[in-house]
Parts: sequence; C-alpha cells; structure tokens
Amino acid sequence: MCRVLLAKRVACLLGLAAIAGSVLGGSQAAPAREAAELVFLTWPDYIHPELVADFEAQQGVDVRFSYFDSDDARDRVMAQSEGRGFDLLLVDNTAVDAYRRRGWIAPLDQRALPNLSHLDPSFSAAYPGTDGHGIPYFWGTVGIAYRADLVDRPIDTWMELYRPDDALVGRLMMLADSYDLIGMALKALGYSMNSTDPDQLDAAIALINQQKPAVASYGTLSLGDDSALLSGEVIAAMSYNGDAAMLMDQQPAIRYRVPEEGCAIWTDFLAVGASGNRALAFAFIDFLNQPEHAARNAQYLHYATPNRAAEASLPESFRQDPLVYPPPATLARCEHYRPLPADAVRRRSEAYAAIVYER
Amino acid sequence: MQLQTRLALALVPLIAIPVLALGWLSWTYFGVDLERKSALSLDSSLHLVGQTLADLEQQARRDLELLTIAPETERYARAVDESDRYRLFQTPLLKLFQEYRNVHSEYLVIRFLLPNGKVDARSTAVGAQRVIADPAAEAGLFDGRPHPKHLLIDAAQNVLVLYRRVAVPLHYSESRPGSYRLGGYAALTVSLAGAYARISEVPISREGLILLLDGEGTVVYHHGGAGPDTSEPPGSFAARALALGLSEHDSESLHWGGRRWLVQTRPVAAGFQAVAALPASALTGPLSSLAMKVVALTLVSGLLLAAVLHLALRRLVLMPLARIGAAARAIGAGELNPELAVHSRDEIGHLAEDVREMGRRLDSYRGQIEDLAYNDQLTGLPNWHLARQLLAAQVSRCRESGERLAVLFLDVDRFKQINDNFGHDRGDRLLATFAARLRSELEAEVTSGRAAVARLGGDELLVIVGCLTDDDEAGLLAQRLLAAIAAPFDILSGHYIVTASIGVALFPYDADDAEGLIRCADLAMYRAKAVGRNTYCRFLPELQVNTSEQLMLERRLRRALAERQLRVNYQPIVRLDGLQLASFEALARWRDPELGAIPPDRFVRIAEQSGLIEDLGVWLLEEVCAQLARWKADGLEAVPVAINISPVQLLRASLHDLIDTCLQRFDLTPTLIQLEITESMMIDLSPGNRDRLNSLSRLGIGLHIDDFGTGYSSISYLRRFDIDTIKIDRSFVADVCTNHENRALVTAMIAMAKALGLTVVAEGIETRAQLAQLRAFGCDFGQGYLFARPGTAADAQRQLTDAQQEPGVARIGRPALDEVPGGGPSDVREGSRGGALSGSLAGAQPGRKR
Repeated sequence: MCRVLLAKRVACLLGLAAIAGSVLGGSQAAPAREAAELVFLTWPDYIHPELVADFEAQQGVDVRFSYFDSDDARDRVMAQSEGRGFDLLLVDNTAVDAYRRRGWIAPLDQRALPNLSHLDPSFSAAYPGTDGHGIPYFWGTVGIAYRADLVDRPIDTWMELYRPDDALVGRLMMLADSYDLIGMALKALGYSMNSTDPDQLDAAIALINQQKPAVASYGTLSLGDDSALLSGEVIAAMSYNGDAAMLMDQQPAIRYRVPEEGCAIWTDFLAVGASGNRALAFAFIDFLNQPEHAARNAQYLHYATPNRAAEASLPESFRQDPLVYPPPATLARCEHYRPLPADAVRRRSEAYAAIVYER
Repeated sequence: MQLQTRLALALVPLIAIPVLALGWLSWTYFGVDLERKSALSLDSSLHLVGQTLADLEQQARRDLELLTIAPETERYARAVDESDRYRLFQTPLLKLFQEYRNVHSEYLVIRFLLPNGKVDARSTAVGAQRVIADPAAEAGLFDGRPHPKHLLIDAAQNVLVLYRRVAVPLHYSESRPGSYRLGGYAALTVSLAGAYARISEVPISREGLILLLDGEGTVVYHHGGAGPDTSEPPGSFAARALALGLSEHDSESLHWGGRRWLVQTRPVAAGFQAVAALPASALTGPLSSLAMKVVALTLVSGLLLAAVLHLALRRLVLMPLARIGAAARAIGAGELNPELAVHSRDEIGHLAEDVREMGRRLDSYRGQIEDLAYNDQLTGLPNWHLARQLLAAQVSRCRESGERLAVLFLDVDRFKQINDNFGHDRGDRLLATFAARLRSELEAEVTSGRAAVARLGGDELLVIVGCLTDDDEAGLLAQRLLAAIAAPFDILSGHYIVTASIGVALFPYDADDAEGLIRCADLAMYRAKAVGRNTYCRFLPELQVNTSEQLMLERRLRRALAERQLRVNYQPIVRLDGLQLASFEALARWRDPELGAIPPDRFVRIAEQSGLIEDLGVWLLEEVCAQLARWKADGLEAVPVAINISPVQLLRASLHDLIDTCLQRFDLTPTLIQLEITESMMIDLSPGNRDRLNSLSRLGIGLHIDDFGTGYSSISYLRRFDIDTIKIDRSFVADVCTNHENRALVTAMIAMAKALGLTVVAEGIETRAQLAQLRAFGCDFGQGYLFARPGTAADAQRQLTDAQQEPGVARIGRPALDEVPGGGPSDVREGSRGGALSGSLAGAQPGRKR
C-alpha cells in the first residue's frame, strides 16, 4: 500500500527536491523547530516503510523523501542544487568519489555510527573512493525482466534486447542510465562494460541507436500496480534484480535473467549531505544498520545486504534465493563499475544525452 | 473610288485610331506600372529574404545568449576537474542543449567549445551526425582572439554557425559587472534549409531570381533564374549587380545570358548579401500580350465595322443608288419612265421619287420640245428645221427615183408695214390665217404625202411638191397659190388684202440639194419682188450673181446683230478755239469674222433695205448709254455723244419712249445724248412726224442736222424744229481752201447758223489749212482726222481722262497746231491717230442750248 503511494510520487521528484532544498535551508537557520526533518534523496520504493515510521517515532522527527529514477537524474539534481538541500543521499559507487570532491557530501563520523561494525569490510576494499564517505546499502545485478507468458521463448541474452525481434518492438523498456545502457550494450557486443576503447564505444552507441526505434521508453520500471510490465505494455525490460523480484510478487509470469553475456554488479551507498543535518542523518544510517533493521529491509526489498550480522539472521530461503544472491558462475560473468577516464565519460554522456533526450 | 470604300476608309480609322490610342496609353501606363510593380516585387522579395534571415539570426543569437548564461553551461564551464565536469555536469548541459534543439528543429548542433576551440560537448540532431561546420574554418576563428559574436557560413552544408563566449565570473556582485574568465564557447549550428524554403516562396514571379552571397561573395543560395543556358555563372552576375552599388530600394537593368534583368541588391542579416532579379521578359510578356490584344481588338472591330458598313450601306444606300443610277441612265438614254423599285421613306426614297418625277416631266417636256423644235407655234406648220429635213428626204428620194421636185419660196408682200401699221397681234393672226389657207389649198397633196407646207420664219413660207409630171406644174401650182391668197382675209372685223411673192426652184435643174434649192427659190422670190410683187418667178442662174452678195450680207448682219459682233467707235469733236474735247460722235463698226471690216455706208444701206436699221439703231443707243453710264461710274465727267438716227427710226413713235427708257435705265442727263438726223428727214412734215420730232426735243436731248448742205435745203425747217447744231458736210470742208465756190457756201452756212443761233461743226477736217480757214470763218467745232480718228471706247476714255486731268492746258492734236495755224496740210497723215485729246470742259459744247 505504502509503496504504491510512494511510487506515485516519483513523478514530482524534482519539484520536491527543490522544495526540500529551501526547507532544509530554513531548518539550518532555526534548528530548534518543534519537529526536525530528515530529507532523503533516494530511489522510490527503496526502503522499508515501517523502518521509516519506526525511526520517526523513535527520534520524533519527520523523514521526507526526494526520489530520482536514474543515477544521471540524481547527478543533474545535485549539480543544479550544488549538492545542497539533502540530509541523506543514496548514491552509486561511481558517484561517491565525485560528490566527495565537489564537497557535496560530508565525511563519516565513525563515533556516531557504531553499527557500521556489522558491515562487510570487503566493500570498502572493492570501492576505494567510497571509504570514509559512503556506507554500502545494497548490492545487486542488472538483468532482464520479462513476461514469460507474453514471449515465445525465454530471453537469455542482452543481444535479444538490443536487436529485438518483431514481437518485442515497441514493448521494450531500457534503463535511463548511461552506465547501464552503454555498459550492457558493450557486454552484448562481448566487450567489457568499463571499456574506454573508442571503437568499442562507437559500436555500442551505434547498437543503441539501432535499437532505439524499438524501445517504448527509457527509464526504471515502476514497482506499483501501474507498472507497464504488469499491464503488459512492456514485455521485456532492463531491470535491477530487486525490482524484478518485487514485481514477481504481483505477477508470477515475470522472470528475471542475468543474461549469458554477463551483467553489472552494482552497489548503492548512503552518504550524508555536506550541508544537511548530519547528526540526524548519521542517526538514521546507524538505525538502518542495526542488524535487525537491515535484515527486515533486505527481506522487504529482495536485495542483498552488505550487513553481515543482518545477513546471518536472514532465513535460509532468502539467502539461497538466486535472484538475490546470484550463483558464483553467474557472478563470474559479471563486472563491477569502475571509475572511467574523463574523456570516456564525456563520450558516454554525449551519446547517452543524444539517445535519451532526443525527442 | 466607290462610296463604300471611301466610307470604310473614313470610318475604319475612326474606330481604329481611338482603340489604338487607348491601347497605346494602356500599354504605356501598364508598362510603367509593371516596371514599378516589378521593382516593388523585387523590393518586397528582398525584404522578405532579409526578414527571414534576420528572424533566424536574431532567434539563434537570442537562444545562444540564453544558452551561454544558463546555469548548466556556467557550471560546466566552471568545473575545472574533467572527471567532475563530464561525470556531473555534462549530462545536464547536454539535456539543456537537447531541449533547445527539441524546440527549434533548425538548430542542428549545439556544442560547447573549450577556449582553445576544441569541441567538448555536443548535442547533434539525428541525421546530422556528420561534422557540419568546416573544422578548418572553425579552427581559423580561434587562432587569435576570437570575436564573441563571430559566425560562420557553411555554404556546402547550408548552415550558419554562431559562436558566443561563455564567461565564468571571478567575482559575484549585484551592483557592478565583475571580471570574467573565458570558460569556453557555445556554438549553435543553425540549418538554413527552413529559411531557404521560406525564401523560395517569396512572391517573385517564376522567372525571378534570388541569390544569397556570403561575405566573400560566394553564392550560398540560388533560387530561380536563367539556369544553365548562360555561360556566366550566377556568382559573376551577382558580383556585377553588387558592383552597381544600388541603394536600398533602387532597381537597375543588367544583361545576363542574353536577357535584360531588373535587379536589386541589399545586405541582409548574418552578413549575407541578397540579390533579386526579374527578367525584362517578365515585363514585356504581359505587355506584348496587351499589345497583341489591342491589335486584335482593332482588327476585329475594324473588320466588324467594315462588314456591318458594307451590309448596311449595300442594303440601305448602294443597292438603291445603283437602281436609281440605272434608272437615271435609262432616262438619259431616252427611256423616260423606267422601272425603279425603290420606295423607302428616307432620303434615298425621296431621291428615287425625284428621279421618277424627273422622268415624267422630261417625258412631257420632250413632247413639247419636239413640237417646238419641228413645228411653228403660230401656224402649226413644220418649221425651218423640219422643212429642211423634209426637203432633204424628198431630194434623196427623188434623186433615186429620178423624179422632179419643186420648191416654192413664199414671202408676204409688205408684211412689215402691216405689222407696223396694225400691230404684231394682227400681223400674227394674219400670218396664221394665211398659212392655214395655203395648207388647205394644198390639202390633197399634203395628205397624199406629195407636198408639204412649212414656215421658215417671219413671213416666209416654203412649199415642197414632189412627183412633178412636167416642168410647168410648179408654175401652175404657184398661180394656184397666188389665187388662193388673193381673197381678202377677215381679221378681227377687218378686211385685209394681202399679196405674196413666190420664188420657184426645181430639182434637179436648179440645185441638187436642199440648201441649194431653198437658196435658189429665195433668190427667185427676190426677183418676183423686184418685178412688182404679187407674182412668181422661176429661178434663173443669173439671179445668183446679182443678189447673192446682198442677201448674204443681210443674213450676216442679222446674225452679227444677234451675236453682238458690232462695235461702237467714238470720234472726238473739238472746240476749234483751243482744241479742247467737246463731244464724241458714236459710229457703228462691223467686222465680219470672214469678210473683215464692212464699211459703214454699205452695211447701213443693207440694214435700211432689210429693215435691220431699227435694230441697229436700238443697239447703238443702248450701247452708247451703257458706255456713258460706265464713265460716270468711273468718276469721269462725260461729254455728250452724238448718235446717227435713220429716217425709219425717227418715224417710229416708239423712239421717244426708247430714248426716255434708256436715259432712265442708265440714269443719264438728256443733254449727254445728241441725235444726228439728215436733212432728207425734214421732207415728211406730217403733223405726226412733227410732234414726234418735237417730243424728242422736249426730252432735252440735242438735235443735230448731219451732212448739212448736201440734201434738201429748205432752210425753213431749221426754225420750225428745235435744231441745235448743223454739221457742215465733209465735201464742203475738203476743198474749202481751194474751191472758191465752196468757201463761199461754207461762209454763208456759218453766217446763217450764227444768225439762227445754231452751233456749227465742221466735219472731215484733215489739214491745218482747213482748220485755220474754218477758224477764220468763225466755225465753233471741228471733227476729223486732223484731231483724231474714230477710236474704241477705251481710246475715248483715255482722251476723256486726259482732258480732265489737265484742264486748260492740254490740247487736241499736236501743240504745234496752235502755233502755226497757217501751216501746210501735208504733214498730217491719214493714218495718224492724232495726239492725245484733251481740253477743258468748261468750254462750250456743240449744240448746247443756252
């Protein structure tokens, strides 16, 4: 129920963000307000609502959400607001370092975050740029969600999406994310998704342009009952594994596949806004990293948690779910996003803008 | 030329000239208007071109400015760290660029360039993936300090590239502009295709031409125009047009590709130069079309008019005229009542009716004319003309048949006296009865066609008798006729005994043609008269010799009087004391065209014998009066003119009336007329004659006795009548110096005249000796060759003029006359015309009563 309501608010994400900025500015100037507010910039449907309610009750504060539906959209909001106006941010691993350099996020205060001890230290090792500024939230894969009841045969490769057959034309949805869109095209072509080779990039961009007419829209699947995948308007989509799992609960015919070419393993981090209410943000992070809270959250969202204590407390069925925890053979085909040279970023951004923003 | 043609020639120009004139005016005004409109069309076309490009450039510049100051751009430019820039700021920037491009489809590419000109971010339209701007040209822009508003035109790609600097503020201030750092450039590539499409729709005619040139003069756009049929490229033509240096709205003519073009040039937006041109043929086309229409209209209206005129004229005028013409010709040919089927109620109908009426009248006149021409109106007998024809016909018939023919010429004896005594009315009645009697006498012969009676004129009749059995038959016939005439004629309750003389001529003995026969009969008739009248004479050849000349002269004189062949000569009469002009004597002169001049005594005698003397007298009187009136009208003071009067004339009661009428008619003083009569006239002193003579005197005219001394000299009449002057006959004057007896007579005559108070004129003075002698005797006036011969009226007028111009000085004759009065006679020649006649009119005039 609550998720549905939240999902509907996605549309006014940017507007809310702007309001949030102004309100937050006000709260800084007058901290002794009757109820403190925590502004959280994040994906929609990406936190257990009960946890939020518990935190609000416990701390006597309000948590207000601002949503984005792609990392690029978040970057744009941050660029426009110069990183101001948010107490808590959900950022992908590649963005943490950039935000830190811009000074948009604050360094972590370890003393205010005792529950960070439950986190798997390997994440800091895997993403060095995040150390001291980002707390891993969830990790997952990018794969293909499709309606098994509406396709002739299972979709097992990215190429089936990038060069769709007639049945899929006009009923495809692709993530509006420069990393995922271009990276998976590179994977479909058999290249590394972190490739900086101009020829490979050109080939990938060409593939995407070629595919574009068959794509119904670029964006993230809605998780509410208005979702295009549920209605059948879209029968195949590039999707995150957790989102697919949530939709499967509503439509059993939905399948999620990590394609044969492999996929991206992503990790989301929480970061504290440089200009926000850091104490409250740290409190909320710490609250979410209490093993019990982290476990409830993971179970609710069908995503793998980096909180080892929480993970240990999760039931066996969850921990064995390949959707949440891909088998090692699958993981072997996958890659992590790495920071790219500036020129590669420029090329990708340019191509991505041309594809997604072109009317 | 036919009426139809003439009317057409007159009317067709009447239609054609206004139409052509209107056409010419329209052509001229249309031409001027067309040229003006063409110039306006060029002007508005260039305006539209300029507006289109200006709109495009303005919009692009505005958008570019907004782009350069957009926060996305500023953040992007400010981001020093490349990773951050591309990772965080490029996507928002490109989204911004993309949104602009989504709104403006003509924005093909929006780029962010680094300060060194390198492309750093680019939003490119699908289908415009190629490098649009020339990289080399663009690189050239950033060699030195690039102008922030610089632009590039890429003719090959039909794009315009605008550049604008992106400034990154170093300080922020509300009140004053801070210093800036060059962050890079925004470059907007605008497609000109849309603008070109709009330019291609400018309202310039299909033949029109629009050229766009960039700053270097390269043709970047070319619409319409001559195309490939010219060797000169449009660029060169445009360069020539631009070289004219035309101001904004001016047009000029240029030749290109064998055609004349009207061109305008104008600098338009974005550094473009626009050239618009219209071929002159676009103007002349409609003009020629107009001219063709006018000519066609003229031709059509001319032809239509000609056709209508032809038909209308033919039906209304020409056909009826032709019919009337035919009728008139028929009338001319003698067909006096021709068929004329024209009955309209217009002028033509009236003309036709007039022609018909003319025919009818001619028809009736012809009868009358024929009657008049061939029949004598008084007697109803054939006239002279018909008689000759009849006779000629008879002669030719008899010549063939060998028959004999008699011609009898009848003349009533003393018919003139009958006329004079009893009046013309009775004379005519008598003549008619006389003719009727002859006709009835010969009724049988006339009816059988053997004889004919005709009236030749006057009292002369002709009888033609054919089929004579023997030569005596003619004589018998003449006797028969004389017997028939002998019976008295009862005319208006009076009995008249009339006789006639008959001359007889026979064919073929006397003459062999009609003319000859009539002449012979005529001569024979005169013989009959000569032998005592009331008889007949057969023609004898010797008659021809004696009388023919006199007859001929008489006829010629008659004709000369009728044809006014006679002239009046004037001989001056001068005062012997002073030799001034006193008066003239009028003398009739006759010069026959064939016989030459006939002496007056001769033709006067013939006139007297034939009775023509009366006519001669009347003519002379009228002629003199007319001349006096002319002199009077010319302002000359006339002198009296003396006229000779024959006894016959004098005895007529009508002379008084005649003179009176003449004087009144010409408004003359009676003293200007003097009558010269002979002594012989004084013999008959019957009371009637005396009254007539005195009545003439009472009129106030002068009476002169002519040839005094030669005739009956009962001097007593000089006292009984109002005689003014005596004229001593030339025979006395001729030898007045030599013949003693004559000298005595002259002296006596002058003395007697002086005693009776008469004036004396000496006639025929030819020598100065005679003059001197006569002067010595006291003679008043003189006349003769010594002074002047008779001259024409013009001569007389000259003499009259001279006399009046030098009063008291000039003299008649040579001045020497006065100085040597006793000189010899030999120096005056007969042929001398005399000197100028002049003299004072103050002197006495002959016959002037005191």
